[in-house]
Amino acid sequence: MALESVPLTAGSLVAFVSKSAVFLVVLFLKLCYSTALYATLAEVNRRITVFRQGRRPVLRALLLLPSVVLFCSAVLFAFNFFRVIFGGVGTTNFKTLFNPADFIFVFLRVGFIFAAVALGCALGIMTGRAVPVGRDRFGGLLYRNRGRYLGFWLFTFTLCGFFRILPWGFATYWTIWLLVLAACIVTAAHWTLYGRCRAVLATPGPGLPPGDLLDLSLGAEDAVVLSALLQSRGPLTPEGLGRALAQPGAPCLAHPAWAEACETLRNDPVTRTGVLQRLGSRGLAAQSAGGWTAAGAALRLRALGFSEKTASLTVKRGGSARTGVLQRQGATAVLVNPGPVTLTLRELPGGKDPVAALLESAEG
Amino acid sequence: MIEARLSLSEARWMLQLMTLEPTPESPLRDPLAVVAEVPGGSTVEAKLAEALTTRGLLLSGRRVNPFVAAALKWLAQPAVVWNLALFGRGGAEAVHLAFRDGTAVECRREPSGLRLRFPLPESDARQWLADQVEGGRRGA
Repeated sequence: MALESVPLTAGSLVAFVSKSAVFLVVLFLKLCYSTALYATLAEVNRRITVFRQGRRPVLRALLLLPSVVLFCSAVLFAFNFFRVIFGGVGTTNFKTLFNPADFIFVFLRVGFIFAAVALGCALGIMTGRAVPVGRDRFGGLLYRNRGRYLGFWLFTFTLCGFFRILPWGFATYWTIWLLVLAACIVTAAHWTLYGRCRAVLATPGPGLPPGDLLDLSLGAEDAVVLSALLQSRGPLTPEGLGRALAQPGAPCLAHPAWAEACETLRNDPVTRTGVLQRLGSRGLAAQSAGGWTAAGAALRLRALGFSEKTASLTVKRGGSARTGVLQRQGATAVLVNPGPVTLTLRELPGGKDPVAALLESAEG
Repeated sequence: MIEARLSLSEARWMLQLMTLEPTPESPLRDPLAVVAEVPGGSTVEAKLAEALTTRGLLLSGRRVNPFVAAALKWLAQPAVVWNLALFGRGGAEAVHLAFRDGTAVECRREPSGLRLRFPLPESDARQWLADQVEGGRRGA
């Protein structure tokens, strides 16, 4: 009945068609917006996952992530700028802004946003300072990931996107406020972490204190067990050693002979105990009530911790190959010859040219 | 010192032209093992020839530039090879030095292929090693 009562004229038809077209275009734009929003979210989520999984972060990654976070947050903030700053005042009602009461509300809203920025930066700096940063054995950076603040930002971003897609913009102000807070936390935390990582890299290693120079020669089994003892945070019983060898470090798997020794030791408790006793008799391991720990020269090796520069030289000649590895930290230089049967570690005396020693050891 | 950049396909095809096969010690053996042989008379071969000729690495009559030919010969069938890997600051780089007849060629893998620098007198090799170990790019 209602349709019949409307006079169907050419003008009303044009108006209907044009309104339908505008509706479809707006619908399409909203769909594009929501698709782009969630595609961005998926990408951010992927980057965060990769970032969390990476145990050796590159410094640039520390800046890349907050850049993505800032960009996404800024885009969402820009979409909501008028609603967040001017509240219910639309762009067509600017004349109402001349009301002094509205000015006060605008200043309050801007103030709250600035409070979010200040609070986010403070929390971010505290978070960044709380992350332990260290160096891995090859001088790279290691830090324990505490990425909950990234999860917080992702949650807030999703929430904001959700409320943005809704037609009424319900709770837009507070979700955007949270987004600003979260983005500032992530940015400040990563910049703090970046600064700390740069500082760690710029600090030269202390090297080893004066003492007896390292000179070790180890068979494959001894090397594997000593490696496990050095990596363990506490004493290891023969059973604990078996469990530790179930997940050997990369050095143990670097040579087939070592990987084989590792596998043998993992399945043979008698040999494990024998190797521990052999290391004990050489003064490289000591038995306490809790189990076996590194001792003597092995402690000096552990004190080295990491090497700032490592050079591995393999000389191939007439079907044979020999490798020498030079590891340096500060004034300390350790020369390693990883062979299939024997691993030798030798600390070079102060006056000796490390490059010449490396070449000598690789040429045999 | 001459520097030449070659893609893996170009290096493979030049070795084909010179009828050289990398020995087990050669630093070219592993990278070129993944590259298919270039069929004679194919469009791929024509494109490779054109690219190399433009850069002066291939002369008329499909003759390989004699300097590059010498470098590839040293690299493919060296008497001694130094494989040097440098680690530090979380990054790593590898460089090879192939020796033959008292001369050496430096070879680095790059994303686009190989970078060759030659000739390096054998007497300068120790200094070259010191420069690499003390300096160098060191990754990040």
